[in-house]
Amino acid sequence: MGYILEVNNLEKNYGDFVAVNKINMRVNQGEVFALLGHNGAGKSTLIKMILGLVNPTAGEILIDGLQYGPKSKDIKNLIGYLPERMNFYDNLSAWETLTFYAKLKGVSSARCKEALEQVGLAEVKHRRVGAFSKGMQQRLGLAQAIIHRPKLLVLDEPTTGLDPIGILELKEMIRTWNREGTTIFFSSHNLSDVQELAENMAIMNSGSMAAEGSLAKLKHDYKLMTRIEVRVSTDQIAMISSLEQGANTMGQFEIQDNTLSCYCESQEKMAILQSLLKEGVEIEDFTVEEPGLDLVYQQVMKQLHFSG
Amino acid sequence: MMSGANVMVIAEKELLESMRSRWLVTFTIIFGLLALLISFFGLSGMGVGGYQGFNRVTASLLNLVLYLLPLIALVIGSSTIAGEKEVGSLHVLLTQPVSKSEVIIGKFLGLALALTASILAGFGSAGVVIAWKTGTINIVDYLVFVILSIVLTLVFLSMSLLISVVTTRRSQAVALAIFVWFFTILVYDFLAIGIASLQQVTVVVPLLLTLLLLNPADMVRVLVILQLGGEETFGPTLAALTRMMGSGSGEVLLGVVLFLWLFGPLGLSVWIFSRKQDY
Amino acid sequence: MGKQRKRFQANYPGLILGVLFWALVWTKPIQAQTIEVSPNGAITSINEAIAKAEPGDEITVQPGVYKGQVLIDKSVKLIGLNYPKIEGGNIGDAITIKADSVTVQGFEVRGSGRRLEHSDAGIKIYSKKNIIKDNHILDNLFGLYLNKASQNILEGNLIQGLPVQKKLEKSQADDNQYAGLHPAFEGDGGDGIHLFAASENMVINNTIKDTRDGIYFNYASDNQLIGNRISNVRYGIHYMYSDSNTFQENTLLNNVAGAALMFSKDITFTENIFAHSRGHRSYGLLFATCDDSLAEGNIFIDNTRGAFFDVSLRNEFRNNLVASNDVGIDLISSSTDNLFVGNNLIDNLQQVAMIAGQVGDGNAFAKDGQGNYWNDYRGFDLDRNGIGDIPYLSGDPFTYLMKKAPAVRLFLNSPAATALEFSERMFPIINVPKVKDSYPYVEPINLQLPNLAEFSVPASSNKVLGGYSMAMLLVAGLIFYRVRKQRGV
Repeated sequence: MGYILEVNNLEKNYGDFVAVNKINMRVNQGEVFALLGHNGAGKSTLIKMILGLVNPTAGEILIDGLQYGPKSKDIKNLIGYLPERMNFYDNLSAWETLTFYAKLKGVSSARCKEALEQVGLAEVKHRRVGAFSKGMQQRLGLAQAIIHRPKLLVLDEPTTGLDPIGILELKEMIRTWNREGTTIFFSSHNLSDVQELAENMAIMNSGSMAAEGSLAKLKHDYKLMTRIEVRVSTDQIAMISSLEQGANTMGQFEIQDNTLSCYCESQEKMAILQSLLKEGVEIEDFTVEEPGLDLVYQQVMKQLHFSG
Repeated sequence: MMSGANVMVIAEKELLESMRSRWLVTFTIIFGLLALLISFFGLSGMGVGGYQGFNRVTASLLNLVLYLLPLIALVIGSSTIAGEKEVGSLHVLLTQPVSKSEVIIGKFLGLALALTASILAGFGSAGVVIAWKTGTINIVDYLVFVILSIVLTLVFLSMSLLISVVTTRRSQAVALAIFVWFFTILVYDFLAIGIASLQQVTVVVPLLLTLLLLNPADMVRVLVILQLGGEETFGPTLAALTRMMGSGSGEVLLGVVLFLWLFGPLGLSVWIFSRKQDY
Repeated sequence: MGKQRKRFQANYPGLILGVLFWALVWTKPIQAQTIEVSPNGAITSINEAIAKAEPGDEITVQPGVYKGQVLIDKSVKLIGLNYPKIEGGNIGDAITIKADSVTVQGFEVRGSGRRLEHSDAGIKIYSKKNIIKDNHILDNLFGLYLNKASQNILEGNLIQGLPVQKKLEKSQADDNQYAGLHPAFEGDGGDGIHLFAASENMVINNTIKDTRDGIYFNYASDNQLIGNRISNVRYGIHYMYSDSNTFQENTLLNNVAGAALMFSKDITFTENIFAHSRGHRSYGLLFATCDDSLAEGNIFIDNTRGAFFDVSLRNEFRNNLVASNDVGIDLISSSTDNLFVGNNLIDNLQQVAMIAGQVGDGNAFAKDGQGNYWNDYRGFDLDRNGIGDIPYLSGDPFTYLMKKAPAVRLFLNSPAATALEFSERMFPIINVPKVKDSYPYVEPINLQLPNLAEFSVPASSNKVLGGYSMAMLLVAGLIFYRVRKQRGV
């Protein structure tokens, strides 16, 4: 499978201010890709360039192999977009709003009905959008974004402003569309959402790409270890202490009271546990602490801070 | 590449939105009532011996039209794109497979239809009541008046889109629109009256012609008066000017200038909008 | 019966002879002879018939074309049947009347000469007590010319000069700035009716179009003009050095000036209509050095200037309607001691205009506690006596500017002009010369005025207007419906 989105050496300057600085990025067909970064990191500018709303100063954007220019309309047919914050036309009903976009996209009104059902607005489709809650507007925005079954769905901070149930439903929808083959590209500053949904991610800082890849790759790159903690009965401590010198595995453990703990690569943790069992250690309890995206993010930022 | 279908879709949405919004309904009712009141009281004031001079009534309607229509067109038009920018729907619209020129032209067309329908409804209902109750109206004058009102409105709508494109917030756009209105309708004329008070007729007349051509509101006002009262209403000093305007070449000139006023700002706003990205 | 006659003849032959004799001698002048002229008859020429006629005879003329000038030197009645044509052959006068008490009725008179210095006319009258009635006097230099002729009656004639369209084309040829100010202004034409030193004539119900002046009084006094209709000429009624004339119920349309009263005095005119005198130098009524005259119950409507006063003294202008003119009353300060009272001044772009700074001595807009009705009066009437409690003051900065710099007129009806008027009302700081009426009426005065019904647009146009209006509503409805429709999808 090729790349649905390919960004090469992308730059955007506003006068002296560099909003986006030589960014390279690849998004695979069919994946869920997240874009992370502080406010002002350049996410919005990057998204606007991907959507064709802003022209890059240098570099290129390929969407399904196509470049903006004369083929802009073809590209726009491939993309669905939900902005972070927006209001639709207050005096139109949900149905009128959606059919408006559908006509521009050349989509049938049967599909509008389907999309409204998917986002759960079928009941209220003849109500004025002006009277909609934030969440309902967001749903209508989603309906608009997926109505033409885009190959690439771009969501800008999709979870902000939603209540917890709304967030759960949104995640479910994202998974469903992804299963149906839509590539999802979303920006967020909510790390847990990203960790939960995204297969690959990119972290932006001050216009530059700070890190890119899967969570595992990032953990590896930033040497973030898994911590294993094993509790044993007090009487075994002596035995373990005697073992310590001999077995190389045991050497990694730090002993405190009746608790053993060690750091390892994530994929090594089962081997370590098994070797403990092999040595005859009776394990009363154990916990595994995998480093989350929050740690990765912290680490990325810390390193930038030191290197910068 | 412009797609007529897209333009129509946007125009239709714009028209539907306008119709739903309170301003259009309110404006239509106010406009119709004012037209009616002026015609009625204007006519009843003349109710002596059966003669009813519609010309003066139309002249007072003229003032109303000069005040009201450009203001409405400016305010409505200027907030259309700036407003969508502000609430974010413009981004969504532009990620649809449409070009920016289609967006501008569609919006112009939709708002133009809404305003035209509203003006026709106002003048039409006033006309029906006049015909039914009092009668006596110069039909050609009335029709010319209606047509020029529509042209004036569309010219200012075209300007308002330009305003809308160069501003980023609705409030900013409306403020600029009101400034433009105030300037073209009032300040400009005060300046021009000052110039007209200069004594050398040879200098004044070409200057005035230029000033007229530079302000569509003035142009329409002069055209209406020429239609209603004839060139002599402006007196012998301006005979050369008014005769020139009444002659074939003058009409062509006025037509061309009005055409430019109608499509110039619109074209310019398409050009600017297509190049603008800072939203 | 036969027997009786026989007896009568038998018994009184002498008496019969006597009666016959008396009949021959006396009845000839009393019982007039009728002579018939027709193109195919015994007498084919009108002059021949006049030559054969005795005073008092009636000459009836059958339809046909009669070429050559006609000279009437006997008191005969010349009656045309179905408008026979008299063609003067473009020399001198077509018909010349030198005898008193001649009647000329029912002819089409054409083809006078074109020499202004000889006053070539369709019908020229040198005598008294003639009746010129129901003729069509077309395409002559002068229509009717009265040379020191008095006590004539000119009634129901149609007098028409060169149509305006042709004059317009002629005047377009020399295309200077003022050409085309008014098409009829140009041209060397004569007048419809010209009275030179002619007095005590009655001019009734004539229709005059497309001549130089309509009716021109030159040193002609004590004439009466009633019910004439004059249009598309220079001055509809023109008095020069002609005193003590009256005119009433005349309709004067589309002229450079409806009536021009010059170097004359004591002219009384009532219930006339002065309308549609439009052009840069057009006037409903033009007073120029005309004194001691009275205008009452007239209508001045849709003129560039309603009534214009230049060096005219002690005139009275009362109970007139002055409406829808660009300038209602234009009063040059050389005119003094004129009185304007009881008039309705309605919807004039400028109610009263003055040469900057001066109203003119002794000109008054109110007398004995009564003024005029001004529809732009903004005062109030708390004591409910029908008279406003504060004086009416005409004029505002804009009209003042217009007078000072005529080019300002281009901004007529502009919001800026309205703002100037409004500011004057709010803050009367700017010292603009004003006409003052201390007793303005708050309601229009109920005046006895001529009927203006003919000026209303015919009723059928209401249907047309209604039709157009409905069409507008329909278009508006269609636009709205087009959109409404899709809601139901």
